[in-house]
Amino acid sequence: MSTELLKRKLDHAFEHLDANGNGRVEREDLLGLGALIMVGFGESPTSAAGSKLVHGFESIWRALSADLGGDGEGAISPEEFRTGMSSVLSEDERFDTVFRPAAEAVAELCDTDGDGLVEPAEFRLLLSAFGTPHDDVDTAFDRLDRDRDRGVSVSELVEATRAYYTSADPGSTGDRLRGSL
Amino acid sequence: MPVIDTTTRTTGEAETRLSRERTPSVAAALLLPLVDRIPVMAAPCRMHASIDRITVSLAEWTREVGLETPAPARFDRMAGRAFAGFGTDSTLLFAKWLTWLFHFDDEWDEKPAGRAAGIVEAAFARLARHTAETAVPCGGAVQETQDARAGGRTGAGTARTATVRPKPPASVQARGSSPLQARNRPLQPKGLPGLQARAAAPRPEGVLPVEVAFRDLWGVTAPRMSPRWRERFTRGLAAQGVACRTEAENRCAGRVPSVAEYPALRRGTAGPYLFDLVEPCLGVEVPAELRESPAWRTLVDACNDVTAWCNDVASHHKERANGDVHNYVTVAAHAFGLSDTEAVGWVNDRIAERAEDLRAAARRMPGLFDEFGLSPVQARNASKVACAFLAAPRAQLEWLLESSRYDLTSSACLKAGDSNSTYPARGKTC
Repeated sequence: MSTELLKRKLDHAFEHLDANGNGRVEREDLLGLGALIMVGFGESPTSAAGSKLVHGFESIWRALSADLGGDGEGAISPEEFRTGMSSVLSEDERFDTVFRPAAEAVAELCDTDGDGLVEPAEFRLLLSAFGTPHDDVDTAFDRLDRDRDRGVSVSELVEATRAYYTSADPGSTGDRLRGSL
Repeated sequence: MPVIDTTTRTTGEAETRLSRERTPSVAAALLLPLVDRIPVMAAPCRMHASIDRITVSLAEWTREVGLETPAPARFDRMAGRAFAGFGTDSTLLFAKWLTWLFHFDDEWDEKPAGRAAGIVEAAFARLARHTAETAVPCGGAVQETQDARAGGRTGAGTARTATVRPKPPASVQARGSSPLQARNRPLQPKGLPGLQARAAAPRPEGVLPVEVAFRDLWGVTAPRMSPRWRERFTRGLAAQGVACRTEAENRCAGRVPSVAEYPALRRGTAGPYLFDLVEPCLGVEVPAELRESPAWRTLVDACNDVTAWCNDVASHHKERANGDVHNYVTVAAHAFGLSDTEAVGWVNDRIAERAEDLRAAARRMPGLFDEFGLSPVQARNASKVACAFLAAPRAQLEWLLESSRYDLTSSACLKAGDSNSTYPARGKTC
């Protein structure tokens, strides 16, 4: 990463994934986060939306662990996480094949009425699963919902997520997605 | 026999594929319309990546403890679907419990003992005595809790099952209070390296295979859990005993349960502790305040109901042929004067409603995690357990379509054990 801000964002994401604070992220951590998201929306690995999410998360894990030379069952350090995620997020082809499917699966899962928009309550539930403080959620939503139609489209959410992890601009659209750093 | 792959499909596609591949004679096919009605039954289960190793290890264990399980029962594959994303040892332990439960259940559903309330009571009393008397290593549960909180790999289902096992107290081994001579089979303490490092304990003379198996599983499971969880399991066992006794009395009296009373009775005979076993198999324990909340209880009970009623639809032909009225399809047909087809439709409607209760309860979880102040690790662990409940109906459907356990044409050779009752009708039967 080229800037301190980007490093802090990825370290923040790592710390959230590493819920037990053992300094490593394992496959189980990613699956645990996936379970937390699915349960909140009443979905499961055997629902259409939940199944896509599980496959998306597995794909991200395979990409991260493959980059690091692991066998898929290892653990990732903060440095390895930064390197792997930077590659997945910044290279268009890798973003489209690895990260976008998972991000879209999450966003579609949140779009419970299938109208293409993630509404405030759904957005709040999602960001809570990602550890965003409740006080920051409304701010994050307002920044994304620029046309004030009380909904963020699935594609907007996916692009905001990418922007969050690749932009060194502290005022970028998705800057508050994970709360204050 | 259906081949279940892991690719995501739309709901309609999933049903079409299942329909195309099912065996027409399998009554479980009557459940297929639910794939389009129940969102958490819409997508195929993944199968555990180590299913072949689990299959081999389960077969070795059933031989060691003396349970006879025909291959088509496929409890390994039911566990492999329900625990697809989790550790191999977690899945194997759950498969063993399923195998034990179905063997135990068969004693009451089809054999003379199921008409003898006294035999039912005595059998459950022996198991309860064992749970009360088995020594639990001091600190075992504490260690597990600490591991779970620390989020160590033990929480993901590592080889704890292979290493933690208290020695049964001599008093239990010596009792041998079974009314029947155990089947004599040589023990074969073999296992795959790293998967099943220990063999089941030698079977005490005169103890039944189902009791040997129970002691073995309890010895592996109990030490990793808190006293509160063990009490919960014991209460579930007692509830099953009461329900099985009620069924025995109904069979003797020729009585069909009412539609109002059947769900609670069925929840009992299904073995309420089966749902408590998800926690030790995943190496986690749901915090007591959450576990005792109405929403969590709904989650557990709704999962129990949905899976039990699905089982009823799949097995109603066979159970009716055996003269057993304890089946929701039979109960509904009797109560409302419905044809068989109409009764299946009525039960499927109830399953769909109850599945919505299951989802609604799951959606309440994040609020309760906050309310009870769960740590991030606790919230994720509880979510894994809840996810297992949400996935269970689909896992069971695929198993029912594949297993042939309830296939009328081959039932005689598919039930656990043989046609002889493990528990003899030595007590008073009707």
